Amino acid sequence: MRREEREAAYVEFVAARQSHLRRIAHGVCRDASRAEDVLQDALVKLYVAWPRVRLENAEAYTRRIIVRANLDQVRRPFRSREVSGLDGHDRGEESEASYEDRSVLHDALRDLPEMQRKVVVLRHWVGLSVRETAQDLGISEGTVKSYCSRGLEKLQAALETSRS
Amino acid sequence: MEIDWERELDGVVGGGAGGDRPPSDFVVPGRRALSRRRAALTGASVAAVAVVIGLGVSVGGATGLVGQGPTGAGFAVDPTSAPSPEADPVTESCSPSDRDTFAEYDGVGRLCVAAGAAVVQRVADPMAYGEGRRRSIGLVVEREGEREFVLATWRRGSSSTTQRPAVGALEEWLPAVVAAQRLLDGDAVPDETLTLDASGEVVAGEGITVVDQRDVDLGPSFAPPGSPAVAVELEVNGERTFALLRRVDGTTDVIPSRIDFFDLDAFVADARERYDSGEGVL
Repeated sequence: MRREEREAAYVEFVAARQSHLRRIAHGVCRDASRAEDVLQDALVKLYVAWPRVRLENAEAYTRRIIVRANLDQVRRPFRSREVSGLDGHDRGEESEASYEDRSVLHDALRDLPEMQRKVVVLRHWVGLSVRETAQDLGISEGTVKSYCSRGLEKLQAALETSRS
Repeated sequence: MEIDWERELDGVVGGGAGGDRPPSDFVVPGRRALSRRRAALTGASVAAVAVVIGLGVSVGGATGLVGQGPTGAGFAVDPTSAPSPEADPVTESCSPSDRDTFAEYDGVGRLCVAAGAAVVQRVADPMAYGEGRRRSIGLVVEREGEREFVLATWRRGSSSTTQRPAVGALEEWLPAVVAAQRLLDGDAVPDETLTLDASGEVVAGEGITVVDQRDVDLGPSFAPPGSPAVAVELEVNGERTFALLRRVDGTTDVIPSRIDFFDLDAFVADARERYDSGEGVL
């Protein structure tokens, strides 16, 4: 495939999947600026790898780069672009959850330890299986189950507190 | 009532302001990164030598740029190891010991590749064992559309395989895994071992710097009560890694982490969770 064709395929993929990948990045990052950095790095790496990444694997490849980044602590010192937080932008279909619930859940998700947050988002928002989540994160399936259970417990406790 | 987590999370997993960015935001830096990588690979090919990277020697870093900063932990780069567009057929006559393993050494040191799998990239002897009774190889192996990175090692009587889904470049993945394998090898490179003495002091061999260390109590599943146990952050030729050390019956066990962490606190917290759950660090 010629470079122009490869690049056209890459641009088509980015156009189609950028929004979804951005939501994953924002879901697993505590910090919106960090999420944009992680997405940027992942899509640039995808460009470099594009000749050897099959189109059907491109999304999984990019997602793995996103979720394997050290998300909470590694931040670049300065970003000129202002990006707002998790809430209020580019949501999918509006859920029935109340604003208060969303706010509480947002905070609770953000406060989860990094690996728990990644596991919860991959398992219960992206919809990956335990095995797929383990592969994405490079951890064992047992660890995925453990993180997921603990993460959901904390989210559920936050929701119950908010509703009581 | 059971919570529909997908629906609940859909309300909070946002996408940031401003919506999609133009593809040029990724294409332009992508082209630059690709040019840098090609320049590095070309330079290595022109040199026409396998660059054996040892501890204390400046090596190609995370971007694969030869000579631009030490991030490796000592592995050999075969300049012909750039990804080949087509998978090479493999005709090994042996099979890995389980179906999830794409490739491994068998008991007599033959490299076995799973049926239906193809090796698409090789890095010869990334452990830099040299000629002798040890073997190692780094691979990208593809089977049924899935690509995995593999570091396989062999010595008489034992073999070791580390396999992870292929994300990024093999040359970027290998250094940390090689560093971890070096710790696992123990007697393979005596100068690089770590020792925890009876007083709980960590003694690092040549080439290893102990950046930070902390006494840990991870419960009886990790070490008997009263036995010294320490978590350490290490620097191995510029590559940061973490490990747990325990002293049992007068000898030191080193359990390296296969995952990177921001700092020792994060590593210890993760180790505590894993040992609480019975998982362990590996």
